[in-house]
Amino acid sequence: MCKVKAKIMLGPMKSECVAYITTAGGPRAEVVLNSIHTGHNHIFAAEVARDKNNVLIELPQETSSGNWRVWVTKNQILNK
Amino acid sequence: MILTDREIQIFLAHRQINIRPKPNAVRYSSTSVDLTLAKQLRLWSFDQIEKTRGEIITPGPKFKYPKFRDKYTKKINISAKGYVLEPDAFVLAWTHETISLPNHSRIAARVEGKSSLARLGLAIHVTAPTIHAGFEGPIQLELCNYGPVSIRLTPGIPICQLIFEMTFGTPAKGYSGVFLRQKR
Repeated sequence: MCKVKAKIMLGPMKSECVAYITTAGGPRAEVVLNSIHTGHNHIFAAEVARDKNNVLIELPQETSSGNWRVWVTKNQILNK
Repeated sequence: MILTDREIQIFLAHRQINIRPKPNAVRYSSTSVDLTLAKQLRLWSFDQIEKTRGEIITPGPKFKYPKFRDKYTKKINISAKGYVLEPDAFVLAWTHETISLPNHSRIAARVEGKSSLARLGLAIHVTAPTIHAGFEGPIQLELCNYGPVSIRLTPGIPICQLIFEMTFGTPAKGYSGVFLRQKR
C-alpha cells in the first residue's frame, strides 16, 4: 500500500471525499472515495508496477473517466 | 475461478486469450480488463418501425435475427463530435477490440458495465453478458441510457469490462452460434 499525493475535497456523502490525482500524462484523475482511503493530502492506493520515472497505481475506486489504474510520477508517492 | 490481472496477462502472452489491439496497462483492474467503444453504432430506423406498425416479431426457430436487424436498424459511424444518447434511447454498439477465447483454453468471460458509466445511467447489455468458450469477434453491446441526462458517446472511451473465468473442463464443442465472428 502506498500514499499518493492528492487534493482532497468534500464528497457527495458525509463519509466520502473527492480526490484529484495528477497523472504522469498530465491530466488530473478524479475519484470519489470513502474517507477511510484518504488522508488530508493523500490517498491510499496499491502499487502495481513501475518504470524509470513512473508508478502504476490501482485506486480503491474507478475514476470518473473509467480507469482503476493510473500512472503517476514517482514524486507523487509520499512513502517511498 | 476468476482470473486476476497477472493471470489475464499470462493467458494473453500464451495466446490462450486473444485481445486485439492489446489493452495497455491502465485498462486493467485487479480482476478485469476494460474494452473501449468502437466507432460503429446501429440505430433503430424509426421510419421503418412506423411503416410496419402493428407487425409482431416472434422469437423462435423461424426467427432470423440478421433479417430483423437489417430491416429495423441502420449502421452509422460516430462522428468526431460523438453520438448523443438521449434518455431512454437504446442503440447497438461494439467494442473496438476483437477477442477470441480458444476452446482448449478453458476460458469463458462475462462482459459487464463500468461503475463510472453506471452512475450516469448507462447500461451496456440487456441481460446477456456471457462470452462463451470458443467465441471470436468484437463484442456487441446493447447501450441504454436509463439516466435523466443525455450522454455523449465518443469512440475509444472505456465502455465495458471483461471478467474471465476458468471452466472446470474442456467443453465438448466451443461456441458456434450466429454471433461467432460477428462483424461490426
